[in-house]
Order: sequence, then structure tokens, then C-alpha cells
Amino acid sequence: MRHPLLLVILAFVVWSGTFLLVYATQATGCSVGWHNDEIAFWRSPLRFILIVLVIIGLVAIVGTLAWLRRRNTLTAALETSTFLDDVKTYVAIGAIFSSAFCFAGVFWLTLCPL
Amino acid sequence: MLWGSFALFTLVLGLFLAAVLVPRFGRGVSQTRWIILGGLVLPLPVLTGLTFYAFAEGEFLLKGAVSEADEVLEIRATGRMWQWQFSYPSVSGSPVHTDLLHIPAGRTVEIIAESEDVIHSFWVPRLGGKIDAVPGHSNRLRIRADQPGRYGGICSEYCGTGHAGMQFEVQAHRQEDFREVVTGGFRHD
Amino acid sequence: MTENQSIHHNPIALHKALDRIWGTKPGWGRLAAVNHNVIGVRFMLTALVFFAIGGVLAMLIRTQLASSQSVFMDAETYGQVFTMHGTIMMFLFAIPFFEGMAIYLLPKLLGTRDLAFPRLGAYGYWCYLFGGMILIGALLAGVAPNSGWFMYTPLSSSVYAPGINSDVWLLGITFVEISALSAAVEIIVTIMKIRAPGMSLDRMPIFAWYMLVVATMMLIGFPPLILGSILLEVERAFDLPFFDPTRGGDPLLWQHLFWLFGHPEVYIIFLPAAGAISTILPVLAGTPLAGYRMIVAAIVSMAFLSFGLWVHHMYTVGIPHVALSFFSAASALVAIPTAIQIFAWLATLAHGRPRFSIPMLHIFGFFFVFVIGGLTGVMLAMVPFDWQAHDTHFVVAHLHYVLVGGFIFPMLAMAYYWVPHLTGKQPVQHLSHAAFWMIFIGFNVTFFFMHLTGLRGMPRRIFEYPPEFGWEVLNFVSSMGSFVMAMGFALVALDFILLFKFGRAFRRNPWKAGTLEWAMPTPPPPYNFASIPRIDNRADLLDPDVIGPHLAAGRGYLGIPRDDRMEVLGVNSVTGEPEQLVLLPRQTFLPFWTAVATGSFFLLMLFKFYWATPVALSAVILCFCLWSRSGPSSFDDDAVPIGHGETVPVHIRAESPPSYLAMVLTLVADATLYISLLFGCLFLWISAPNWPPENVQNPNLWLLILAATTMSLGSLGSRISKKSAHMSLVGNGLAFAGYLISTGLFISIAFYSLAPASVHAATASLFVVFCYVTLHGVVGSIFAAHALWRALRDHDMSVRALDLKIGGLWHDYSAASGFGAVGFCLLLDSLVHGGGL
Ligand code: HEM
Ligand SMILES: [Cu+2]
Ligand SMILES: [Cu+2]
Repeated sequence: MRHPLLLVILAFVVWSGTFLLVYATQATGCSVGWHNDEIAFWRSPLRFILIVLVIIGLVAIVGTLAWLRRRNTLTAALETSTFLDDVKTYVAIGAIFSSAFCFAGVFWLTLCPL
Repeated sequence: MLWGSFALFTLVLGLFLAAVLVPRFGRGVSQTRWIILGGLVLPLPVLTGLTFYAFAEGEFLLKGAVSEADEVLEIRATGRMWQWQFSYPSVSGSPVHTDLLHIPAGRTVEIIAESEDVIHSFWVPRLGGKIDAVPGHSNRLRIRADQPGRYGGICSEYCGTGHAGMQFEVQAHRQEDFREVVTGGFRHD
Repeated sequence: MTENQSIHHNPIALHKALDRIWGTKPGWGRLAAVNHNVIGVRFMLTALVFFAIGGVLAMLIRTQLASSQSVFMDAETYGQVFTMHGTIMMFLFAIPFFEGMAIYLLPKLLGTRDLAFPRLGAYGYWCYLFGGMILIGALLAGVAPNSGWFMYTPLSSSVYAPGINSDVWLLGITFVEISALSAAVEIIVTIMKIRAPGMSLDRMPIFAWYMLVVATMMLIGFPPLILGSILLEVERAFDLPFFDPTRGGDPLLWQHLFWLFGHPEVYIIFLPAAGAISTILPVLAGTPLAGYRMIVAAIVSMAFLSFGLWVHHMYTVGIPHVALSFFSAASALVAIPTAIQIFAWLATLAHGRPRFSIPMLHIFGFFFVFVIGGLTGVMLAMVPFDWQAHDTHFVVAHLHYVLVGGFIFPMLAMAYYWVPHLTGKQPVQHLSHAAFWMIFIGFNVTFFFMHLTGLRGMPRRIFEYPPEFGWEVLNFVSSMGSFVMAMGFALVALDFILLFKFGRAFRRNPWKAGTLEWAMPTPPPPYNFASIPRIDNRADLLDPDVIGPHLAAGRGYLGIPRDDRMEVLGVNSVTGEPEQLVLLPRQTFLPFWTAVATGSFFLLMLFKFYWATPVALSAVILCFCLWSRSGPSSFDDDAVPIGHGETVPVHIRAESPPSYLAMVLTLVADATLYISLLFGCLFLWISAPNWPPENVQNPNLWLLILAATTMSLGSLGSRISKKSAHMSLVGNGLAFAGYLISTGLFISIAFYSLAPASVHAATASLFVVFCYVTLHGVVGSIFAAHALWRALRDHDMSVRALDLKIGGLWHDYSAASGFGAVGFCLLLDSLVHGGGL
């Protein structure tokens, strides 16, 4: 089942998971009112939860890259393996950058409808 | 944004034409270099700057240029096929106005957009962004007219055959006149 | 033996023998065609007809808008015209056209004879044709859809659109989407399994990488749209209130489902075109493509990012800023992989010796137009800008810059490049230059000024505007430009007609390309390659002039036809080493009849003969059961010679046959639909008004668990049945019995144990979830019954192992979906009664 192409997309699968989780949590939080009180630094519980989720997501993706780098793709030809290793590294770096970039807004932007 | 886009467009097209028409153009730069420079080094700073600037601008527009202390005036805008009705919850004794929205100039106004049937969208191009009136939801949008005057408004979400005609007018009045106009006591022109 | 002798290394005899096997029969036999050459060309030609229709509608739009208070069309007609223009261009032209192109080209570029599932391709084509005809029929009858190509509800609901118009869209498009999903499965399996030996992943032609990514995106992107269409149709037909805010539904659910499909869709359209550019441009530049690995990484990233920005079509619906920021950032980011591709192409050009030619001219058009479209795209990705520009003609201009730049110009480049392959003729007349410049100039005049019209505040989709708004001059200029462009397209058509008539023949490989499609006679014979090559280099750096004659003489694999069978090689998906001999089904009318049965279902739905739909559904299922009959049963041997002294097992005995992968992929699409459904219902809890529902009546929990458990007997049974011939009877019997009980339970829970589904979206959700599970149970029982029947007839386990494996996948998934339904029911219950968390 461990098809090398699955390893190629793994980092972005983690990104997608983080994306869904963060978005769903934000929407749920607004709907049940986690944004209303301030717990510390004039910030609401919802904001803290989101920040924590984003950081966990980032760590998970960086971890994924590290894990991918340690596994070499076991295939017949050397060329094929280096090819797959290269592609999967590029993709993982892209995913890490995307995570940092996409979720930066959780730190200060308006959380819920006015 | 316009000039930046123009510069980027000229750059890419210039490179394309040079690469096709000028022999040996760009050979000195390795292929990987080309990709890294053009695919990452060029767009990344531009996009980052733009995105974060847009976040800040978006926050500013959301707040509608008010400091915490200012009071915003709430106005309910109800869309229905094919007209807008405006009511003023905070101005007692004000009737419902159809296709004519009075606002005070120099004060931020919060539109609460609602719909009785299908989705419409409230938009006054010269006063700010647009907000959809979605049945079952009340969405809020802050707008502000700095000068008294007339501004055209138009529905900007397709809502059936009357969509093109679903226009309204905004009149911004001096703060002093506003209440009287809304309650109908003041005869304009 | 004597026949074989004469064929040996004799190209003419070999051609005759293969042509007899692979060729499509004349006359009515054409309806039985399954060959990818025929199907691919049919797809493309049909799509071009739809393009012409969509183009005529565009001209009507431009005529109407040329002046401010035009009396040419009334509002209702205009609504139908722009809706159908968008719908036709997106669903009936762009997607089917590149599907056809992929169907035609992929086997050739991959060095093989056909796609993995020729009958599926044929079935997809008929679904597309019939579905498209339903839409065009409605247009002619004046009852075409009229709520815009994204069909926002409630405008498209039964309250505000009581006519048949919306049903035409929902049912017709869903019918057409069957072809998109089947093409997706077929393309993925073909790229993964049916390649020339030696073609490891790193040697695949770049176009195959593009199509692999695109097909995967289709597999994930289309189910949300299909789900949305089903839910809206169910709301219209049976009053289940998914989108009705007065009963706990939410119009925004439709928007999420639509754009979750709709945005990836734009990339699904762009990427095949980019793949064509990546294939053509290096040939014209006379040098290999730069940055192969980076491009592969870029398109994979692009595929993911494109699923993370659907909300940029919904910036104005009242979603909080922080959530918008995720989507806005992702939308900006998607420019990076695009830039990487653009600069890879520039690098290729810089390092080559570009030859000027007609395809190159269109590639110039692509660069010019697409870059502008990309830049306005980044602008629109910025939330504050979009609050201004959203739903104005600025967006119309942007989307045409992207679609025409990113699809039409590459497709024209591609047409000028590959039509010689398709027809075996090269152009002689030279209308091509004039045609290009007319399209190019006409396009820019039309749409560049439309940006300004939009910025001056003209909303899209209005059929008239007051003269004093100052939009008239710009609109008039746009309209003039569009007529010039239309004439340009007419010239292109004429250019190709002249080519068909008077073009002159050429010897092999006119562009000096390094890809395998030129290593065959042109126009291509139905079997493509008389024998299958072994690849020892990246598949765009080969020499067709050497390989061609070698293969034609039958010196590659499978160079000797046997027993009238259509044979191709299946390879290991990573290394490309031969693993199995895949026997393809022969020409058959089954796909046609299956599509007719499917179409009858959609027509019955459309005309509201709901009571008769079970008949049509049974007919569809019956047809599909017949498909499995004609599967190959001979070849008991585990080691069939394939030439060069190598032997492989036949696919039904192989480790990982194509159909197994196809089932996995089908279930991936199916699971995407199910997950979207569950998430969609939870979304209603978060977003919709009138929650929690007042009197929800929950199904009996123990009954529900009993239903799910009996359903999982299917999974258990399938495990038992793999043990031996005897156990096979027991296992499948158990599975069948389990399904009978569980479907009965689920359906009665859905109908009797819930409050009526029309009362509230919560009960409607549960109802639909149970129906979904029931449907899986019914199909599972068919699998089990089929396996039982075969076990009774045929005691040789080894030929049935594949069927059992595939059935096993289904049984496992059904079991999971049953337990998923139980879990969902509990979750919804606790959310509703817990009053939140
Ligand atoms: C042949 C030249 C074309 C012209 C002159 C043209 C013109 C137009 C115009 C004026 C509109 C806006 C209608 C309105 O909002 O009132 C429009 C909408 C649209 N066009 Fe085109 N178009 C052309 C080609 C295409 C192509 C090739 C595609 C896609 C592949 C396409 C896709 C669309 C879509 C999706 C819409 C939105 C429809 C809607 O609002 O529901 N168009 N077109
Ligand atoms: Cu409207
Ligand atoms: Cu989009």
C-alpha cells in the first residue's frame, strides 16, 4: 500500500488536514461562541485554539519532511529513486511554506462576524 | 497594483520575446537558475507583500474607518425581488424607505443586509465593498460617505429577471439634517 | 503457425492482421466502437460543436450588450443565454475536449495500444453526448436553465424556479459528469498500469504527469458537485430542505459544494493545456524541457492548493475575515507553481533554438493573455479588491483571460501541432496567420476593455443598463472586438477544412519530436503500434524515426497477434517493468445500451415519472452485470510469452490488475462524496438558521447498530470466501443474507423511524445518509449474488480470485459506510441535544 506516489503527496495531505481542521474549528468556534471572552493578552479562547492548531500543523509537516528524508524510496533503478526523492522533497518544502503562509492570519485578523 | 502588474507583464512578455527572437539570449543563465529566479525569487516577495497589505486593508475596511469610541449607525437593508427596503432601527418613527437610502455624511454606517427571497447583493460602488443578502443570514457591511451627495447603488448578485433594474439611490445628508430626512419631516430639494 | 510465420517481421501482413482485430466495424458497428482513437476524436468533435453553440450564444450576449437599452433580448432570454453560454463552455466544451485529447493521445505517448478500459471510455462518450443533447434540447425549447452557470439556490429552487429549467441543469450536468468520472478513473489506471515496458515514473512523458494530476483532481473535485446536484434535485423533487433556510437548510451549503468543485475545475481545465505546452514547446525550441522534476512537483502542489481556495468566490457572503485570509493566501500562493512552469518554459526557449511556426504563434498568444489573466487573478484573490470587483464585468474579463489564455490558445497550438498526426496531412494554405491575429486582437479588444467596464461598476449578468452610466462606449468596443474574434475562429475552421481537403501527406515526424506518438503511421491505425516498444530513456527524448519502423516490423513486444485477442502489456506502476498481459474487451454495443438505460433514468427524473425510475435503474444494473460476462476466461497459463523471451501472467491472475486499481479509485470518489455529505450536514448545524430542530425523533440506536453490523457481514463473508471454493459459497451466502437484512433495516429506519424528511434539514440529512448506505448495501448484494452464481458454476478459484478481490473492496467500504452512518447519527444527536458543545 505504501506506493511511492503516496509519499510524494504526503506533506500536502497533512497541509489539507490542517486546513480543514483550522477552518472547521474557526467556524465551530464562532457558532458556539468561543470568541466572546478574553482569557489572556486580550485574546479569546478561539484564537488560542487556532494558533495551537496551526503550530501543530506546521510541526507535523516539518516532521513529515524529516521522516520522508530518512526513508529512501525503494525502487529498482537508482534514477527512479532519486527522481522520486527530489520530487517529494520539493513538494514537502512547498507544503511547509504553504502552511506558514496560509494560516498567518490567525494571529490577528477578525475571527467572527461582527 | 496596476503598475506592478504592468511591470510584471512587460517583464514576462519581454523575456518570452527575447528568448524566441534574440539568438543566444539567456543562455548564460542555467535552466535551474531561470526557474528559481523567475518562479520563486520574483513572485514570493511580491505576493507576500501584497497579501499582508491586503489583510491590513481588509481589517481597516471591515471596521469601516472608526475608532472604538465612535458610534456606528445601523441600517437594515432588506432585498427582495426586485427592490431594496431600508429601515432605521435606531431612529424612532422612521418609515421604511424603498430604493432610497439616506445616510449621514461623515459618519460610518453599518448595513445589515437581509433577504426575503433569493440572494441579492448590496453595493454602492463609490462608498465601499459589497455584501450579499442571503436568506436566513444577516450580514454586515460598513460604509461611509465623507461628503453629502447622491451615490448610485446596484444589486450585484443575479436574482432573476429583475436583477438589472434592481438599482437604488443613496443620499448622504449633513448630520444635522439626517434625522429629519429619515423621519420624513424634511423636504429635500 | 503458418499464419504467424507470414506475419513475422512483415509490416503489411502484421498491419492487416491487427487492423482486423482492433478496427471499428462499419455501419451500425460504429455504435459498438470502443477504440480510443475513435472515442477520442468523437469527444473532441462533439466538444467543438458545443463550442460553436456556446460561441453563438456569446455573440448574442455581445449583441445585446452593445447598446444600453437593447430590445434584442428580454431579461428571461438573456438569463437563459448567459447561463447556457457558461454551462456549455465549461461542462460541454472545455472538459470533454481535453478528455478527448487525453483519450486520443495518452496511449500513444505512453507507447501502448489502447486505454485500460475501452468500454468505459465509450460509455462515457455516450453519457456526454446524451446529457449534452438534453441541455441543447432545453435551449431550443426555450426552457434552458436560467440561474447562472453556478445555479445559486434559492434562485434555482422550486419556489423561485418552478419550471423544468433547473432540473435540466442538475440532471443533464450530472449525466455528463458520469463521463468525467469515468474518464478520470480510466486515465489514472492507464497512466499507472498500461505503459510501454521500461517506462519508469521518471521516464514518463510530461503530459502523462499532467494528466495523472488532472485525473486525480477530477476524482476528488467532481463528487462534491454531483452531491450538490443530487441534494438540490432531491429538494426540488421531494421537498427535502437542504437549502431552505426556513427549515434548517442553508443556501451557502450549495455555494460551498459548488465551489469546492468549481475552483479546482479551473485548474482541471488549465493543466491539460499546460501539459500540451510542456510537450510542444520543447519540440519547437529544439531542446528538452527544462526542470522536469520541478514541474512535476509544481503541478502536484498546484493540485492541492487549488482545493484550498474555493471560498475566494464567496468573499462577500459574510464569512469572517480570518477564514477569508486562509483562502486569500492560498489563492495568492497558487501563483507560485504557475510561475515555476512559466519560467521553466522560458528557460527551455532560452536554451534552445526556437523555430517560428504556427503553434509557436499560439503559444505567444497563450503567454500574453494568460499572464494578464494570472495577474488579475492575484488582484481578485485580495479580499478588499474583490469586495469591489466581485460580480462585475472585471471578473468576466478575468475569467476569459484565464480560460481563453489558459485553454483556447494552447488548444489551438495543440491543434496545429497534432492535426497532422490525426489526418496524416500537412497544411498548404496559409490562413493560419490571419486567423491567429484576428482572434488575438479581437480577444484583447473585447476583454481588455471589459476590465474597465467592470471597474466602472457594471455588474455581470445584466441585460440592459441606463445610458447615463457611461458604460456604453466600452461595451460597444467590446462587442466589435468579439465579432472580429468570431471571424477569426471561423477562419481557423476554414483553415482546417482546407487542410483536410488539400493537405499533403508527409513522412514520419514532421516536427522532429522525441515522443512516441510520432513512431507510428499517420493517421494512426486503431492499434497504434504493431508491436510495443521498450523504453530506455525519458519518453520525450526518443527517436521516432528509428523506433517506428522497428515496431512496425513487429520487433517489439506482442508483435504477433494471437487468437483475435486485443492484447496490451500491464506494467509495474513505479518501475515500468512488464507484470501482466492485459486482454482488452472487443467491440461491443453494451456501452451504448448502458448509456441509453442511464439516459432513460435521467429523462424519467426530468419529466417527473419517479415511479418508473426503478425500472430504469434495474436496466442500468442489468447492463453493467452483462459487462462482466465478456471478460476473458481462457489463458489458464500463468506465463504467457510476450516476446523477447519474456513471459507474464494474464491480468486476471496477476498481482495487481487494472480493474483492482479502478475499484480503489471508484471508492475514493465515492468516499469523497460521502465525506462531503457528512461535512455538509454538520455545516448546516453550524451555519444554517432555525437550528436546533424542534422535534427530532431519533432512530432507535440498537436497531441502527444491528443494521450496521449485519451490513458488515458482507465484509466478513468476503474474507471467508477467499479461502476455498467451498467456503466461497458459504462466505458469499453469508454476505448476501447480511445485505438483505441490513438494507431492509436501513431503509425502514429511513422511512419509518425518522420524522418526515421534509420537516427539517436535520432529518433530511439522516434520511439521505441512510439512503446512501442502503444503496451501497444493494450494490453489495449484487456483488455477493454474482459471486455466488459464479461459485456454483465454476469451481476453479483462480479465475474468480480477481472478482472476489474487487468485491471485497466494495464489501469493506460498505461496512465502513454503515458504521459511519451510525457515528454520524450519534454525533448529530449530541450536537443538537447538547445545545452545542
Ligand atoms: C468566444 C468568445 C467569448 C465571448 C465573446 C464571451 C463572452 C461572454 C460574456 C460577455 C459573458 C458575460 C455575460 C454576462 O455576465 O452578462 C460571458 C460569461 C461567461 N463565459 Fe464567455 N465568452 C467567450 C468564450 C468563453 C469561453 C471559451 C469560456 C470557457 C471556456 C467562457 C466561459 C464563460 C463563463 C463561465 C461565463 C459566466 C456565465 C455566467 O455568468 O453564468 N466564455 N462570456
Ligand atoms: Cu440582483
Ligand atoms: Cu476560483
